[in-house]
Amino acid sequence: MGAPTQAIRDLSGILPILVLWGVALVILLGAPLLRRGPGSRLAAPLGGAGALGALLVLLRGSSDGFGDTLFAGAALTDTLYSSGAFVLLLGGFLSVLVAQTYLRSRDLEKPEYYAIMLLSLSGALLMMQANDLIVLFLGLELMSFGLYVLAGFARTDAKSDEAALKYFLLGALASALMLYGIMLTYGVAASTELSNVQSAVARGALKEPMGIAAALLLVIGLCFKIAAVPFHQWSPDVYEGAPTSATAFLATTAKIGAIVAFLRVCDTIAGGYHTWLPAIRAIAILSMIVGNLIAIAQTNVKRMLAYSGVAHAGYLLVAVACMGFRLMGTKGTQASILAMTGAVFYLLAYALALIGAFGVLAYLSSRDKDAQTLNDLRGLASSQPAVGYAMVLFMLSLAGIPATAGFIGKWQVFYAVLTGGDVALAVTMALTSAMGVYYYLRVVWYIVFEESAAPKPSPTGHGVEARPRAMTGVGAAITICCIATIGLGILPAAISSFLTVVR
Amino acid sequence: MNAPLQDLAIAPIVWAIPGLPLIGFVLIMFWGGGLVRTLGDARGRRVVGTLATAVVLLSFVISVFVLLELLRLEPEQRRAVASLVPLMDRMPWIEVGPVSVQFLALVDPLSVLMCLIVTGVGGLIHLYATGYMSHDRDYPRFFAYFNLFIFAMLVLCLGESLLLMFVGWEGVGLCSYLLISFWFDDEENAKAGNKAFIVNRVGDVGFMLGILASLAVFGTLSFHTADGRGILDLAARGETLSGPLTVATASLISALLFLGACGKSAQFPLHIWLPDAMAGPTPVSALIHAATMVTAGVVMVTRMSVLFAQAPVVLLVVAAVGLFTALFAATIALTQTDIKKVLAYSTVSQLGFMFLGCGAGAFGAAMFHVTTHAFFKALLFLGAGSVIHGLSGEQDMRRMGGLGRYMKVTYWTMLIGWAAISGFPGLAGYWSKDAILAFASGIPSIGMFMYAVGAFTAFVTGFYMTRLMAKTFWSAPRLPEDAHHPHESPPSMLLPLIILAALSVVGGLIGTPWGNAFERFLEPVLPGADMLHVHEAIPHGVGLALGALIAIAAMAAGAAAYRRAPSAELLPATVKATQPIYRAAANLWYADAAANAVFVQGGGRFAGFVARWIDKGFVDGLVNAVGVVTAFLAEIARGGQSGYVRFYAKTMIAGALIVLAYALIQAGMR
Amino acid sequence: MLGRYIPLLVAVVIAAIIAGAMVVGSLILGPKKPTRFKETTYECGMTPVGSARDRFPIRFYLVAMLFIIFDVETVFLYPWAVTFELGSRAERMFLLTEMGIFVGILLIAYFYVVGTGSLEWGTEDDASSKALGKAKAARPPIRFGNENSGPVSLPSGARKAA
Repeated sequence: MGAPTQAIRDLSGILPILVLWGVALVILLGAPLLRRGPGSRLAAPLGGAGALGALLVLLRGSSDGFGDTLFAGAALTDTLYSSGAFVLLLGGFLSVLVAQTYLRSRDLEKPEYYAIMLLSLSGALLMMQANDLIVLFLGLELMSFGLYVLAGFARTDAKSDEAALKYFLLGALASALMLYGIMLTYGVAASTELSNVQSAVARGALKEPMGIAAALLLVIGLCFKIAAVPFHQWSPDVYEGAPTSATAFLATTAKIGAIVAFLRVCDTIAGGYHTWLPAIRAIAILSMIVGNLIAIAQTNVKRMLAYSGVAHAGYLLVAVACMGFRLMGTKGTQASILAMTGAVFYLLAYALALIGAFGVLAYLSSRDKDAQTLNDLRGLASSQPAVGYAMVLFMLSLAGIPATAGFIGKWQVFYAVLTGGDVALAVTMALTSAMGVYYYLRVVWYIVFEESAAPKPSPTGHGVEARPRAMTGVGAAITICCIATIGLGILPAAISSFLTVVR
Repeated sequence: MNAPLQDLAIAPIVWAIPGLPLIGFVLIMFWGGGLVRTLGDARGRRVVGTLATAVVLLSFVISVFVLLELLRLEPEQRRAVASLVPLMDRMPWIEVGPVSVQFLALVDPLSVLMCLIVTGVGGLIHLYATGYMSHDRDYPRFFAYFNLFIFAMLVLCLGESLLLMFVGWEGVGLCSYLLISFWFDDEENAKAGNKAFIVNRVGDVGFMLGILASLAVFGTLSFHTADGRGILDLAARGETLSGPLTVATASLISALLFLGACGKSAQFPLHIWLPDAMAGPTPVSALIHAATMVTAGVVMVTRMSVLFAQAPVVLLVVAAVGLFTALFAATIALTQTDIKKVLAYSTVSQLGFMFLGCGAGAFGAAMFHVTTHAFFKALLFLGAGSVIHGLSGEQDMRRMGGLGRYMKVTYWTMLIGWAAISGFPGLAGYWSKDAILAFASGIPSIGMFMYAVGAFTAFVTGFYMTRLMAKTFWSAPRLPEDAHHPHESPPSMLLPLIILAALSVVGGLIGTPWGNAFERFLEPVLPGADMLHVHEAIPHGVGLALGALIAIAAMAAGAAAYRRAPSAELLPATVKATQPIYRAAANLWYADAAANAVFVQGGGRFAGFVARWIDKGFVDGLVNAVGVVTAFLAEIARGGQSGYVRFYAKTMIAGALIVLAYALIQAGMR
Repeated sequence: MLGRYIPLLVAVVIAAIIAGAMVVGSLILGPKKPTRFKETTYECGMTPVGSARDRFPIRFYLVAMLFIIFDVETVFLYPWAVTFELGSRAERMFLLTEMGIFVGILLIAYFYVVGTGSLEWGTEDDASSKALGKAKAARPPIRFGNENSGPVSLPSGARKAA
């Protein structure tokens, strides 16, 4: 096979990434035109088209050549990637919808926002496709840089600046730790390609100190991205400070990208599970307990969701821990595959509920008022029933109440870890989920049972936004999230053809 | 015993039993408000009320047809599955690995019986509610939730797998929460709703773990499968997915499930939510918190009887908890002054009787009591509601009295309810309570003790119910001067009373010790009872005679005592204030106070403690302990004010070091 | 086991020796003719002594950053140019296309920079250049020299050093 044919094959394997890059470049090139005037209305549709286009390309992509490596072993395509990418791009599209309304109502809209979003998404995709730790790192950085900028997108808001700076500094620290881990991996495996790493692990590379340090530094770097305890402290400040639409985006994108990469890395080093499995189990249990407990004390919804995100990171780490069971008999192998499928479904449910919840906050924000606290939700069920009950639904899904997607996700992960025979993790998960119900229900309480504080806000807001907001992007995003959350809660099998991971 | 699943000709319409109330819910939820606005208040309400009642009664009719179809089969063959989704044979719901859960209904005597009770009694209570709630401004919302409740309850009863049952289980919990807090303007009501939800969650954790344990042990969640490898099929043969079913395994699963049942059916110590749940409208109390939802625990235990039968210790615990709850709640009922609270504790007490029956292995008798209790307790609650309605919302019995002459129908039907629950010979409660006590006497070695305590509780029951009747109807009127003139309720409320009264009289006759049709009907679904060799240590005649004697003695004693006290107060106020036992009972034996102190306040403090010390203190403290930076001590001393990025970075590095150090040390030790 | 790391230690030691030798060597060998300007710190033409909270036009950083970005990208051309020679004809076409795409993306970035006005320095209608003007006006008089500052007065500390 000649080089050009090979190149075409390689490029078609990363077609979704290319689509994202193409649209991002178009937006950047057109930025002078899109900045003001009539052109400014085009930026958001372009961004949405980019995410949606990548999604369509992904769905239409031929499955032959699946499981092959691309670019001489640097990347690959498999079902873990394709199902993760489906969730990621769907979340990206919904985030564009949320951003369109939120940025405009807060007077923050610039075309660069969407370009950066698309580039960030491409980084996350690269991370999922990586078959080489260096490529994984490149994807991680490409994703993270975008997220840092988006966190600080409200330039004149000190909190937003603070969020971006904190996120950047701590992210750089985590990247450094991870890079150090990659370096040490090269030291023990003489390669950073995952298949070589795997065979090095099989030869016992994780028995020597350098190998152990390498594996754990990788784990730590990824734990930062998903905000697991004790690497979680950035998340409440960043979630609170970043513009709401950016929070929705970074919360989901970082988690999806990092968890899929995490699954792949831990699957690769499953042979040396005795070194990293105890650490992951401890981090998972700590995250579930600490996240849920501290969330109880929060009155700011964005901060509350940040701590709940820590707890969800814990639940997802339970799935990651299942990777360690792969080589422990047939049950273990089954558990690891179930956990991959379960984790991806969980991510989908989480993304839908979280983007929906942040979407509701975005929906309620206007130029003068950024809705963030429980008080802003007071009496929503009577003042704006549709939005109020949508928020209730998202909270129930995050809490994992049956008939919502969140329940199914939790159940699948649960089942996987039970199949693996790890009762301690399963029990912790069950108990902490019950604990989490408290603070989600408190939001429900404020929405349904509290009287709204203001007499009744005029439906036109503050004169900026005269048209009904239900017709805007965020309305569409909330609607889609609602339908999908219920639909998947009742009929999860409907989407299993996209989301089932096979080996 | 392990008859294959049958095909029912009527299977294609089984979905309509829960489906119709769901349709009713959707219609009323989305268009009810609009209907009331467009058709005008009175007509709109009539349409909404009629629609809500009609769907439930229609479900009842279908249930009757399903029953008739089932009766045409041989008793051992009465077991079929039917799709819960119209026009589809099998609708997959969840498919994870080898586990697949489908939207299927299990049609067998137990589920059909429950369908009949839920839709029958439920329909009557719907009809009653059209009158009772007629002045409420949230009329459509009430009926929407009410229909949703019926739907969830039917899913619970019909569900073919533990998971589907759990969905219904959570669904009824949700509706209960919504309906208890229905008048949420009053904070007390909203709090009661929360309490119910949260206490139930405690039980739900047990149920959930039980489900997972069964999944792990049996590899499926279905009760019965076509190839005879459902949970109940395997358990009946004493098998699991791998190897025989041990006593320990059966005990673990049934103990977890019983914890769930305790939450839903308000057994000690999880009973504390039920009396508070009376904050909801009275039809809600009658339907959810007396007749149907609270018996879900009994239904679940009965459904899983084959597992419980193989766990003798758990069975003994069930009996003990049931008996204790029965006596405990009955003593509290003696001291309450709120008419609904008396009935609430009476319900807790009667549920205790049902669990006593289950614990004795007499699952059939327990279900019989579920049935008769549904009749007379719904009747009593509706009667109480009629009284409250007639007095424009007054619930305190100290301000009632002499109401018999104002509301004749209510009085006479209540009288029947009183006789039925007290166990007056021949009425519904007599047969079922007696059956439970008789079987309880057969519990090995402590049977007679159980019987004695149970009989004493039956006596207390008769006494507090007489007290209720005396305070409400017989004694001198003590209405406040400015009160509205008491009036009889409208016919829509009286008709259900009359029907339920008739059922309370004759309902017990299907289960008399002679030719017990009820037991024979349920027998095929209760293989657990066969395993246990349940028997009665007391001969039929003696048991029945003793039961009759106790009931009449209690009623007579109560009537005589209150006849001599025209003020309807037996004890002077000073005695009430000082007598320690009375005060303890009146204060609910301090169960609520204890739960409040330990869980609510303690939990709040714990969360605060964690936020303050674990995150800021412990995580930061670890950093200190590692001693990365000593200057850091100053920051902690200054109050550990977080928010500094350097602080976060140090935490991260400390965390990384701990993880690394742990792994390296562990590797070094290996 | 640690024996494997000895080469690493050797490399570190050699690096330290070389770096140290350079510093010490230039100290010993270099001619020293101090003037008072040479004694001051070299800071890219900016005043080295004064308040640390002086305001700088933000564009200074913007241009510097853009310069670094484009400068660093140029580095990639070197390894490409070296390997280009080694390939066959078909591979050369492929390599040329790849570099074309790379440079094309850089070009788009350049257009973006120009198009958003990041390189414009001080047209009057630009809001930030107005801010720049204000910053200029608010600056304290220059007390220390750069190439176009004219006569200067040294701070007392610097004079003493001289």
